[in-house]
Amino acid sequence: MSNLENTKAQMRKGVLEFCILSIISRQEVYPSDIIEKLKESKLIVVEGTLYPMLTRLKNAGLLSYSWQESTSGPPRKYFKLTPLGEQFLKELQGTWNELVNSVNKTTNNL
Amino acid sequence: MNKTVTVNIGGLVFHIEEQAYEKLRKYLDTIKSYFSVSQGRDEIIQDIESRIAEMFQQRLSAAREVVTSEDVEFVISSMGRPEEVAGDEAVPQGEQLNNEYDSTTGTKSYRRLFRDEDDAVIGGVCSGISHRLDIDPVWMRLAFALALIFFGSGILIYIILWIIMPKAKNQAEKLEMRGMPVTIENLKKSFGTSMGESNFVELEKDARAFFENKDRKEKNFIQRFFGFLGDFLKLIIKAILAFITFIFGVVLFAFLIAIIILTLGMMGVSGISIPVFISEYFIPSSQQVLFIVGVLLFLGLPLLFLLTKILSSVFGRKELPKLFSRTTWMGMVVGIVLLIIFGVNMAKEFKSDYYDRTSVIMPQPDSVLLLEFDKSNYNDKKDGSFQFFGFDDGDFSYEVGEDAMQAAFSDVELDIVKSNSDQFEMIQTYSSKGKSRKDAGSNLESITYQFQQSDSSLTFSDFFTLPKGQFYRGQKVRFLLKVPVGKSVYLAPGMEHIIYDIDNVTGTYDDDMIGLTWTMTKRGLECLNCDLPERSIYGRRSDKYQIDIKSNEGSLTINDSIKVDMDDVKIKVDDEGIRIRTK
Repeated sequence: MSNLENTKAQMRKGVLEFCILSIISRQEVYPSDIIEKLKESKLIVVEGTLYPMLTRLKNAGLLSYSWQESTSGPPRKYFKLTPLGEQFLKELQGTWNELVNSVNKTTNNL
Repeated sequence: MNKTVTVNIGGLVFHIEEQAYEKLRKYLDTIKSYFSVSQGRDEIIQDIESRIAEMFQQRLSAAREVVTSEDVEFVISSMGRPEEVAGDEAVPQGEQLNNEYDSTTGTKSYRRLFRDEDDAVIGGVCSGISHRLDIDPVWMRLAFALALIFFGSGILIYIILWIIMPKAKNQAEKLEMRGMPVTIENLKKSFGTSMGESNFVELEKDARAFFENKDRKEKNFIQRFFGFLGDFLKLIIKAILAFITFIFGVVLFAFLIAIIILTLGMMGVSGISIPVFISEYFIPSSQQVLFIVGVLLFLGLPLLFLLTKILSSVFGRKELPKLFSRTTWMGMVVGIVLLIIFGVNMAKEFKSDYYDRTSVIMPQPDSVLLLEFDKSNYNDKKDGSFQFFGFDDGDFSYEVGEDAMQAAFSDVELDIVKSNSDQFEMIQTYSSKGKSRKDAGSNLESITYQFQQSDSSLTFSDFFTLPKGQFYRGQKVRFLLKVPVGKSVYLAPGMEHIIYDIDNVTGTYDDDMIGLTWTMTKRGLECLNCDLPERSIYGRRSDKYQIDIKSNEGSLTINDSIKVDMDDVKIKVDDEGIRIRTK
């Protein structure tokens, strides 16, 4: 992996969790929906990445899920934010806005 | 046409091609290996499996019911390679061990003890131990096989180890087992590599099929029973064959070792006793090279070949190179030629005979001569010697060792016959073979045999000795004791080692003559005070031999004369001549 690619990947990874939580906050979703959105924004390339992350966030108490029957396969897990998750997302949003601001400032001033 | 297996993925049933299944299973195993239980490994895998099931479902249709390798590849490419799936979530390298097992010091070279079922003959115990010790599993297996043969304990130890050693379940554990650090690179390397299948893997498959047998479920009880019986027998037979192959290999190996030891010994490596004996007492140095090279080529080479062949079939390796088998054949031919030359040369050493007869000056007791056996054996007389071999009534019994100065041979025999005079007489005969009469004569000179006599007894020992450097060339010691009519001999216990086929009136065997007093009568040697059954196998009638054979075709009688009496021809041979009468 070239240096550039590596840096890009690192940048995406940093915001990935924030993005996932944001997507879930809008409505109850199941992993494939999240993947669609993330793929559109080129934040992830392969969907396998998502499952460990969801499990970790769920275990951290930020997410909860419910089972829903599916016509095209096994039952699906639909995820939503817990109150703790919402709190967490709010703080991340604050941090993100600050970050965008300061990054913009820094890079424009150069 | 491909074999399919039925699997349950995410609660749905799929028919999947065997190859595709293997690929998928390895893929999931590898992903699994990146996560620890505390991270929710099982849940992650479950989620991924559910998604895979969904993808399969979408790709299959009424027209295509079987999951193929392409489907699996598609799934893998859209899920991502195992290390991509794990990403930053993976348990950091090196911590994985401590995190999950808390059992190691975490050093990189540490090898964990697992059973290796990928390289298993039975349960992967041996290969697991070998990985731990960093040796080839072959040696471990041999050690177990030997323990089995010599102490029978191999089985027990194996079963215990089988039970207590955990199986290397996933790629990470397999790497740990081999002492490789669990890194992405190594996992990538091991993911997707597969072992060659040996006949034992096949056996294992049969066994699995047997225990899991799905076909049987649809049949009725009788069919199921016989199906079960048939499968069971097949399985047992295969297992026995596999076992025999293995044992055969071990035996071959033992032979090979024996030949190597023999060769080393003959080449003068000290501490190896038999060959030293062979080279010092049998084979002149001029013939030794012929013998060694011949044996190595004729026996050693094919043994090595067979052993290699068996091992390679047992451990599922590829065919041996052609050159190897050709070399073996050629070596054997050369070997047998050398051995034939050797044989001819050695036969020459035994070509001529030489005898040396002497009359022994004898005690003349009034009635009974005691024949006693010198019970002290060779070892008792020679301090620090070591008896390698000792046949009771055999030809050789010799001592060998670093300081051996001589060897003992037990080719000593005594016969008893009627004396023509009224004196006890004894003739002692030394005999030997050799290249020529002269050579045989000189071979005979170095025989050392001692027997003791007193006023009324003779004491025999059952061996003579040859000094070191004197080759054994069929040297023999024979005694012929002549007993006058009316006098007796007593055969003391132990004399059964010396006496050989002594004629007596009752036809009693040598062994049964021991401990009794035998008197020479006009009819021959008789035990007067004992009640021995007369043995008529030889057709003995008092002091006469008679052979009488009768059949439907006619008869043959041999006593004073020879008579053949048949329908078409009659022959009579006696002191009047030969008469033949035909129809």
